[in-house]
Amino acid sequence: MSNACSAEFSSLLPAYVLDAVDDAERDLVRAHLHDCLRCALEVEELRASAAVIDDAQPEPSAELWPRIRDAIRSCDTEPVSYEDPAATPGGAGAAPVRTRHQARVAPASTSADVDLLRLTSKASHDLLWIQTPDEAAAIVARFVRALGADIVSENANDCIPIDISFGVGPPLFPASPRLSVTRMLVEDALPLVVEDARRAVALARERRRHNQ
Amino acid sequence: MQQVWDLENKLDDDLVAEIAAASEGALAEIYRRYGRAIYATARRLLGDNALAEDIVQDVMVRLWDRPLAFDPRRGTLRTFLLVLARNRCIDVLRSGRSRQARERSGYDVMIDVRAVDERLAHEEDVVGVSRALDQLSAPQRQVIELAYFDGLTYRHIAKLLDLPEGTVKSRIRLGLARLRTAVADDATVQTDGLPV
Repeated sequence: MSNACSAEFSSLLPAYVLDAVDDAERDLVRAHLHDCLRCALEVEELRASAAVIDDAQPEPSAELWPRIRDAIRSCDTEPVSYEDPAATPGGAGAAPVRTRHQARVAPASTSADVDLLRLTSKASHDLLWIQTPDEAAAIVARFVRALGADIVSENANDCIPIDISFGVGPPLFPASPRLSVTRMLVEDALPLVVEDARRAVALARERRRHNQ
Repeated sequence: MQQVWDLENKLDDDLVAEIAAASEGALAEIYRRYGRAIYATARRLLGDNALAEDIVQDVMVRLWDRPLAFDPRRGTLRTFLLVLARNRCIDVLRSGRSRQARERSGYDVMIDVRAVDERLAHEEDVVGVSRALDQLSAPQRQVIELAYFDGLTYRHIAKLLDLPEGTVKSRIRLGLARLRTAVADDATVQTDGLPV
């Protein structure tokens, strides 16, 4: 048992188990549990007590999970955002927007679908592990290039006005000729990847501040 | 395809990473772990089973849609999901969608969010009173429910109830101990009742 096992510290453990502590206290307890078997065992016991609360709650109906599963699969029916490049003029019309849901879970019917699914998933996954904004910028730049677009340093004619520098150096923009398939793919898929990247950068900065 | 046991052994953070990589199985495992708690929270707030299931669905779809919104440094996944659920419930209450349902269930119609919060803080029994929680004293139960279902820290609870922080921590500790004892007693009674 370490010196941190004061009465005041121990009094935090039940609240910690219910996640009713603030961020600093949570980090403190987590760090302490690595070194203190006694407190770790106490937390396990407290967790077992807390689990009683969940076990005593009523369950939702058995139909709920299938409903949720259908909901995440049915996001293909969002509004149209771009025309299907494969569709002939005057044909069946526009394809549904290729949302992130669709990129993830819809059956991929073409090699382009497969690529978009693979690239989007990989970018999102890689962003989970970044430590610095540079890494986020590199991942997004790789994603943009993999879709076939260029990256330019000024807001030129063919560029897409989304800054992907994340504050690392001068602003950078994806660029691809208008009405090209690549541009459509970038315009469709990039905003969500950038959103994830911004979030990942914010978390990385917060971690760095915390560690300093 | 991953085996079920594999998912069951994963940490929440790892499951969220898998959701980001499009694992439907990971979402199913999160639902298995926390669906019940989310449902219970929504039932307490809305007083309606169907609306509560809608909230669970909203929360799960939201996690699927934006897994990176969960920041493990700011709390557990459970709390994150319950806070999402609570916010969605407040939206529903604001919109008045649940008015009819709550009238059916005999509760007062309260659209004002502050009133909802006060009701949560002080009302003894909303929906689905569990036998386990019945074992607690009213003060113990109140702080545990505010922490467990509403995601409040002990400091927030102390402020809300105008109590010293130490008192809140102590009530949580005593309440959890009581729950443990109650379950053990219950198990003993059931065992004693078995034919020899």
